Amino acid sequence: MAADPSVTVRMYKEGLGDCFLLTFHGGPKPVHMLIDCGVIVGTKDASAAMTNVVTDLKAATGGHLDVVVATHEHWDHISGFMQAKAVFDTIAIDQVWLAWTEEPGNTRAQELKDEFGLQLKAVRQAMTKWGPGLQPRLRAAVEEVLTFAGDGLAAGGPTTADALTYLKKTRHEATQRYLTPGQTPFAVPGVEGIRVFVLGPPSADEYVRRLLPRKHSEDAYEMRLTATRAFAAALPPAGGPAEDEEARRLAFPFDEYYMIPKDQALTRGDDDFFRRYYGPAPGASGPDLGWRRIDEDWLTVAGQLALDLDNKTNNTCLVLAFEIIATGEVLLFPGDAQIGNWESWKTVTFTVPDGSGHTRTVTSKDLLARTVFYKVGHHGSHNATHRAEGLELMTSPDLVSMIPVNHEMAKVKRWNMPFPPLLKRLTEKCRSRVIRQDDPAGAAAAAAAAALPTSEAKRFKDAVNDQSLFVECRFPM
Amino acid sequence: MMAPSQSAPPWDARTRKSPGPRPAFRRLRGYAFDPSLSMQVETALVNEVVFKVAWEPIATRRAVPDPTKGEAPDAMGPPVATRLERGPVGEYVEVVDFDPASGCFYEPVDLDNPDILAQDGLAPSEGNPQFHQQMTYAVAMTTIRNFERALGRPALWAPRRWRKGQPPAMDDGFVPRLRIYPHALRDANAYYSPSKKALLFGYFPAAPREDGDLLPGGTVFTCLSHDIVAHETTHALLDGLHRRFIEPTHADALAFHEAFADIVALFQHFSFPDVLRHQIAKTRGDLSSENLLGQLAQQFGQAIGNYGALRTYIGRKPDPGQYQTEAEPHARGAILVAAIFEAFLSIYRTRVADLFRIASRGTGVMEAGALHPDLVNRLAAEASKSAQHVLNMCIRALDYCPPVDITFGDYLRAIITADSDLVPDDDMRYRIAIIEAFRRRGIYPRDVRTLSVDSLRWPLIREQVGEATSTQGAILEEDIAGIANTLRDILRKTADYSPTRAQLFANLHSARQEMHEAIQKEVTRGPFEKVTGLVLNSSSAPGDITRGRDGRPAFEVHSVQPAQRIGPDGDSLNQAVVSITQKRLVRLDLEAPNGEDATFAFRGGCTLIFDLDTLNLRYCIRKPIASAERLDAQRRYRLEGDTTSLRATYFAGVGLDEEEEYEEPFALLHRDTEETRGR
Repeated sequence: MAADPSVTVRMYKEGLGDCFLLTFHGGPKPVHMLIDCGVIVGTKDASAAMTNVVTDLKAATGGHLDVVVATHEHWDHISGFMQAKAVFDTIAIDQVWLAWTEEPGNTRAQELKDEFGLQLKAVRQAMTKWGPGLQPRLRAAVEEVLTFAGDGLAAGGPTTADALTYLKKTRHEATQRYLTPGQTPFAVPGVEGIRVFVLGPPSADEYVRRLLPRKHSEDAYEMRLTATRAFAAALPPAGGPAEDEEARRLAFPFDEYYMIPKDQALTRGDDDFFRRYYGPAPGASGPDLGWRRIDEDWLTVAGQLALDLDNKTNNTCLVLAFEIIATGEVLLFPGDAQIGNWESWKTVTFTVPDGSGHTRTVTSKDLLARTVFYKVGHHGSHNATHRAEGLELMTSPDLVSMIPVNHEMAKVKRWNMPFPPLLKRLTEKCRSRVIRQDDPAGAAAAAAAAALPTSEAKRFKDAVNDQSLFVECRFPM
Repeated sequence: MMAPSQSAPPWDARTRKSPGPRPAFRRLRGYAFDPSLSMQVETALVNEVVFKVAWEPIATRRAVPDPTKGEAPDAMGPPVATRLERGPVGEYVEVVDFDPASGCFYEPVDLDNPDILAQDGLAPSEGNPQFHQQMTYAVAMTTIRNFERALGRPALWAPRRWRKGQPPAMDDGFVPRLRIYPHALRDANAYYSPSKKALLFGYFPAAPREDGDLLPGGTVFTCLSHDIVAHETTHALLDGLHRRFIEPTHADALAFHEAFADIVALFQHFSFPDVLRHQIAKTRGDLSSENLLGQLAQQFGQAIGNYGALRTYIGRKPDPGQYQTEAEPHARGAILVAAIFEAFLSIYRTRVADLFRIASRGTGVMEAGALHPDLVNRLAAEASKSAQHVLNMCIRALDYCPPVDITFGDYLRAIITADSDLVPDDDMRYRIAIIEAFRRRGIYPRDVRTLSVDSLRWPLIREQVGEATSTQGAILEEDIAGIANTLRDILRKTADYSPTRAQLFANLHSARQEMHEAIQKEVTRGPFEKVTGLVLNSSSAPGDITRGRDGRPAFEVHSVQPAQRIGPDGDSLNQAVVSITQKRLVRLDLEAPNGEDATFAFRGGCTLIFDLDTLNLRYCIRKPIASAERLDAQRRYRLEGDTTSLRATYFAGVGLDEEEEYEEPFALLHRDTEETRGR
């Protein structure tokens, strides 16, 4: 017998990472959608934890996922597809939804991937040359940022690219769909009464162009020297492939006529200027000027590049809003979208049938005003929830949010998650209906009971199912 | 032209004995702004200027003691050089042109080479690294000289902290020269490194808007930007004066550093007469309209994709709410700079009002078309004077600042007090202009009743002591007299006629130690503690205060500075500034369970300003170490931090340390892009 139509949002408690199972009840059989499945590098017994989660997933879905969504290429969102691959192999998948930035054959998408790849390579190379003695705290912080890209895993192990390949190619029996913001809202397969709006990642030309090196014209792609490339060109070890050497030369700021190679300068017989001010050649003896040398300081820009890359990748997040047609209520899943992504939503409009044969326009502002569920971006960090154009526009008094954060883990990594002022504002907006992954069972219901009138508190309590492996909340359709 | 029959002594290049007097200046060509303005017809003529840099050698240099080898900091070695070395390496700076990203050095320029001397230095050239060395040297030296003139004493770089003695304690080693690396980074960045006492300049390929003025893909050298070099040099100068201002205790802390560096760079524009006249002619004397003088780092700004300069102070409408909400250091600092610039414009307008009245024959309406060149000259002279005055006010105020935890409100009070002391008769209403500009931006010091000059001045000690009972007043006077006497004796000893900077540093170093002993011995009583906010008695000390080896609360005599100034009427002010600091090691997160022992250094202290003529203590600018309110505010700031950037999410733990070393606070700061800065 069909249950009352509702959608359950289940947040798994695997650790600092996203793993959400949406189940749509009310049809002949429940429809299951998995949005992301991963946990951050450094989680204890990560593989075991993910296998555990995916096994439960399999049981809960009867071994059949109608849709798998991967919002972006960060390890804490897709590691599960590798760590629990054995279990995933036994789960049937009908559709895979990804952002347009993942689409094979899309030139823009490929250019972005190439550019990001170059930047990541530069950061990694810089890290190999960045010794432990220089700004060790910054160095450690940069290494932590790189764990989003899967760095810190055992060598030779699966990468984020492998995880995406699993979804895009290995599971070729599934239908891959690459979504663009503004495309006509569509239904979740097999579910009546839900409309899916795609809000991001931004695909507008000016936005994408800002991320890429300048071009002279559309057809002739000329590789231009950008600041990142100039930096990257200095990194590969000497004596490597010809194009690396070519790039290195191109990036020199002066004619080679002016350049005096470092070793040559420090061993000049007739002129000790460099030795006196920069110290002796390695191996020779002389006054200790180490404290003033800058051999590695230039590498620390890798820190900024790492942040920048993290930001750009987060901004390629697939952002989905699920509208419950009957009530108009919206469930918002922005992945880890950062400010730039959020700001692009206001340029996106949708045309939907309004039930009387005509159409109407829907804007992101509409959707935000009707949001009753918000999956908090980026584990509650500051930059992933836009205030003025995001959180403040969520005006529904029934707003519930879930934060896939593990504060203990974030502290180990010295990350500011969840960001206290954001948490405070969320609590105010949701009137205490904030469900954290790392909260003890029943914490959210208790907080709500204290803050809300009895009937609302009871409604919330009844809608929440808090277990040790997951917590879920039900929304009537 | 000497007649051939007269025989002149031959000029000996090696020993440099010549019959004439030493030159006062070395003329060096450079950019008033940066190379980009040389590519535009309108500005090309005025973009290249000749810097007049003090002729070096300025003083006979001696070998610098190496503290790591146990040499005493005040040891004097034999003279090592009598000319400006290649590099150039002089008295204040040493340019070492190492480019680590390219793995090479560039040949150091010899500015004493006759070919170079004869032509006012090398010709400006982006492609010749030696010109870059010349440019950074010229701009840095110009900035240093302006700073010294305003402050009235030689500039010293922040000392190098090193451990010495058993058990090891931190001590200060003299750093004679600021190091400049013109091509240190391959990055759109430049920064001052407090740990290396060095300026690191970056270079990068431009990625400008296609409709802008730059060649896309051309290399931009930050070391060729007058504004950037002046800005970074000022960070170093400020660090030399107030070492603790780089500690992020408050949203205003790093913002103040940024603002001060911008102020000096900005007002230095007004010291180029041709530029000044050109821009005044262009704006018809209205400096509040679009012009180059009120903008910073044109080329850099355009090269990273802005439509104009990196920062502009023209046309910024004051928004009192911004100071409440803006936390990002550059943006916050820009509020302070905008206030100072507005005050300058107001002063300038006051000064030139009569000229416009004359030129418009009393109608107030100027004729259309270009201004008369004589008028332009007079306006330029007034602009230059106004700029010089405002800059001097800003720099002199540094002596009237607390040693730690500076806020914009403190700085306002410092400016007003410093100026009131030096210029009793403010007939041009400079102080009012400054107060008004700050007020319009919502910058109010705490604890003042009104925004009047009188209220904003730091209270005189006499006024404070007058409130106490007579016994307390007498005790305080005794203690102060004791200290002042010691201070006078110490400073008499150091009042060498023209000590070298190394000698000056050594003298001040021992002065600090002597003051420490004097205070330790003589002062143990309540009233002195009350006035200074220090805690010197064990009994009343907070539990977490850092203590000396004798168990008493420790304090550091942070600096002793003689400060002599001449006011505009010729009156001289003979003062000495002594700053004292203390430290508590406090817990960071009170709500964290025990065992989570993150701590940070909470500092307090005071700046004492003594009048050496009367041996009176004039002012005490204090940040009490026992202030619960200040501690609470700092705790909150460190936990929530500069909340506007991605950097704050991931790099929150970086740069904060209860020890003395901070990891490159300026490097990260200058690197935030729009994307990662957040909103």
